[in-house]
Amino acid sequence: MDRIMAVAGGTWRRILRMPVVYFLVLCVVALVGSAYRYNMLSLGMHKTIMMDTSLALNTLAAILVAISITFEIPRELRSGVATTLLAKPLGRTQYLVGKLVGISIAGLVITGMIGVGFCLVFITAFDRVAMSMVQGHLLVMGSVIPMCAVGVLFSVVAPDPLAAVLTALVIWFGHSTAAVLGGIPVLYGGITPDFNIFNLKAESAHEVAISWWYILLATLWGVSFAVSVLVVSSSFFSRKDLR
Amino acid sequence: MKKSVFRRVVILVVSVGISSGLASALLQERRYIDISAELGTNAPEGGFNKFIADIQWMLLVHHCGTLQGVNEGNVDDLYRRINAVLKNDPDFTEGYYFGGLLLSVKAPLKSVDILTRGANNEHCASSWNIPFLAGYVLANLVTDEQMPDRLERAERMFALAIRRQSGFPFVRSAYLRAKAKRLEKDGKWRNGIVVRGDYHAFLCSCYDEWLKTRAMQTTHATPAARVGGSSLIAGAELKERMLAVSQQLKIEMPRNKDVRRTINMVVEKVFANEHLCPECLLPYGPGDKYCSHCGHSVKMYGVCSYCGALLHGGDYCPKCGRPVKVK
Amino acid sequence: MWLMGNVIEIEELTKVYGWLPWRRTVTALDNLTLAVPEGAVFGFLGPNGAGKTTTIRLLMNLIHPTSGRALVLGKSPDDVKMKERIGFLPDSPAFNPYLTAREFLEICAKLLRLSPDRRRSRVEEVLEVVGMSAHANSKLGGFSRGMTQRIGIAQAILNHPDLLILDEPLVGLDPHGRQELEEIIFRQEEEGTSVFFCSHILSDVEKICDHIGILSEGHLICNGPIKKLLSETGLNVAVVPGGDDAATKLLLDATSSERREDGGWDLVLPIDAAARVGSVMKAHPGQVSQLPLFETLEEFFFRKVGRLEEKEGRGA
Repeated sequence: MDRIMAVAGGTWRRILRMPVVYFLVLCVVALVGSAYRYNMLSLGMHKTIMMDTSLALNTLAAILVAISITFEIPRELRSGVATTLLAKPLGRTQYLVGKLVGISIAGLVITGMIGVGFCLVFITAFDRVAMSMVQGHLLVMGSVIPMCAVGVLFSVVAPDPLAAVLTALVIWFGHSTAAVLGGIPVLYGGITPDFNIFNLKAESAHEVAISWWYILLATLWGVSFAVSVLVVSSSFFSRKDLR
Repeated sequence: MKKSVFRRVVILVVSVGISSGLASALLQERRYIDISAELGTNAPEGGFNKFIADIQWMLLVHHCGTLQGVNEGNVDDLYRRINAVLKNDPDFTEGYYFGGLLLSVKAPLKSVDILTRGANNEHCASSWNIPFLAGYVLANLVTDEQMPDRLERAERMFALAIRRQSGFPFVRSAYLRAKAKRLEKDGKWRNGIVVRGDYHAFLCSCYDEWLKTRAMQTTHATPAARVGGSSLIAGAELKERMLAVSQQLKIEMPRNKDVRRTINMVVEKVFANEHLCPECLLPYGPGDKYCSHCGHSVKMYGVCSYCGALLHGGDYCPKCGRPVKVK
Repeated sequence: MWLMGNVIEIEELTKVYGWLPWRRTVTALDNLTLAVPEGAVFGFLGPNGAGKTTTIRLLMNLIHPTSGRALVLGKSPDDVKMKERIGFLPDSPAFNPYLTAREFLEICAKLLRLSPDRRRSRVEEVLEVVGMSAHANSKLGGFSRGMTQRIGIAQAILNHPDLLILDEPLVGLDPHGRQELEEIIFRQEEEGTSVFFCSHILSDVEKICDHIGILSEGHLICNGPIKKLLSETGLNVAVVPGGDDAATKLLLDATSSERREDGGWDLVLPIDAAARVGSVMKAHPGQVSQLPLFETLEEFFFRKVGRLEEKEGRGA
């Protein structure tokens, strides 16, 4: 565990030390805050729009974090950073788990910052925060783990630009096929991803009550799916020749 | 098989099993929360349906701002735009209302389509104004040629609006009026009575509703029947409305046989113990032999049956001392 | 057959790159068999593309062999625990540029499972050893090639390794740095660490290593103690002035000869002429003296690699 956390620490520190991350978070919060001015343009729907925009932008941030891992791992492999680490008593699976944990922590911190920032904006604008909105943001944060796992998988089987495209496609696929594949047991949500589990943006924006039980199950699904994706990734990675 | 490969296979099988089990459980849970999942594949939007709906909504509002008005030339385009918003955000209550309102005059059928969808969406169940508007459009703007059963549908929509918000009297009036219109259109009421005009129809509809209310109060109806059933308007309100309409009818159609039969039925069944003058339908006091308003002879009450003295309560007559036997 | 007392044992190791049918395959290592004795400073030499880095990567389990086996410290290279006893400096080391030198070394120390207290003190120690204490809190991204190389060396010796594998450690270091590295290697050797050292800089290898192996095009062409390999080359023979008779007898076998200003001769004879030199020395006592001729490693290297190329040329 120490070794996994050591790799994770290097990863999330790297991302969270990028000033551009904080600039983007600030831009997102400012963008969402500016929606307060859209009351005329939206016929008074600005509150709903603000809530939904914050969730949509937070989801985009989560997807960007997941895609960033598809550049991070090949870059480390190419530059030799991974070689240095793997020459230490660190298994390849441990390395991948460490990268996933690190990127997930970075993702949780970034999405958490956006969520908290937006809650502050919302309190300033409307004096209260809807619980459904907080739950929506928690679900977005939960989606970081399985999406990053998909990023890890493609980063070990494909070169980085292709891995990024494949990850984006799978994230899109996982959000889009619930109605088609949703009824097929084992396949959907077991083998293929069901990221729609985390997509209750509309419900949150409309302040529909979401049970905490649902959020817990969704988070567990995310972790469980990440484990299965990681096992596949590790199988590929353990056979890979590192340059 | 190598130990590490075996370990990987076991972990993979277990995690896939857990994931699929959780996914199935979540799918069930989701059905209670989310209606959107049942409405299409959402494929192009990739989970950003609501966000796209927000943008489409603002574009629609902006587009409406550029229009001189709704007319035959733009009504189809507006309908398409509203549907695009609602496809991406099926729980957008205001979208249904705005869309229905926008199209109500120039395209009432399209308006009814949007409003009915909104009214039937359980996630918009907090909104009473969508079914109310749907009922209004059906009752007043849609023609019988366009939709032969419009009044029955309007009735159902108004009933839905009352169930969601029973505080507004105009919603209840609209319901009763829609019912009355249907009766007027049918022409025949109970006991072979022919419906004569809107006031008469309104009285009939109030009476029907009162019967339903009384039935709910007197019979042992199940709680479900009470909630979803027919007791939409309080009996006292219905009585008040029936009295006012009956009085009006007495003035406007005093000699109409069907109207008189109806009023007599209402007075007999609804106002049996209310001591109303049969002529003017205003209440008279105890001991009165004639109506103080119209002078018509009335059935006396509130006097001792032995000595005819006026009673002021109590068990014995204040004049003859006999036990009270009210006349 | 695996021998005791070897830190590295390689048996018929082959590595072929490329498996796609439409791509050309490259044999980087071809049936390499090699043993590095415990306590040795082993210089692994070869021209570019000979397969040195491939061998090291195979030993570190960074790549997988096509066939053959290797043992490092008696264990298979895929044994993660074995790496706790190894220090490795890769060819052109690279580190996370956003981390400081200290943070990076602390991560390495965590991977090596050093206790928190030991971790801190050891990180400071190795920073001191490589002369990077002043830059401990600087980001690695801003380091020069030489500074990066020093941090690479620091992380390699962090765990007091039993085996230190260094891939081109001298590249990028200034003369001071090279001298310091030499000192570090000597110190490690004194502590009982075996060193597997891969370099292009032959003069440094000659200075540092006690064993060498030369690899060319995936084949091991020479392997053994450096002194033994370099003393085989010939004899330096000096003939005093007036010893022309003796010189005349030796000139027939000499590979080079030079008449000194004092009238004497300096001759170079091949090692197989040693018997003849002995007989001349007996016949002309006091006129002939001999010293063994040591080839430089560079000469040895080019002779060996050149010889192989010639053979291949003839074969072709």
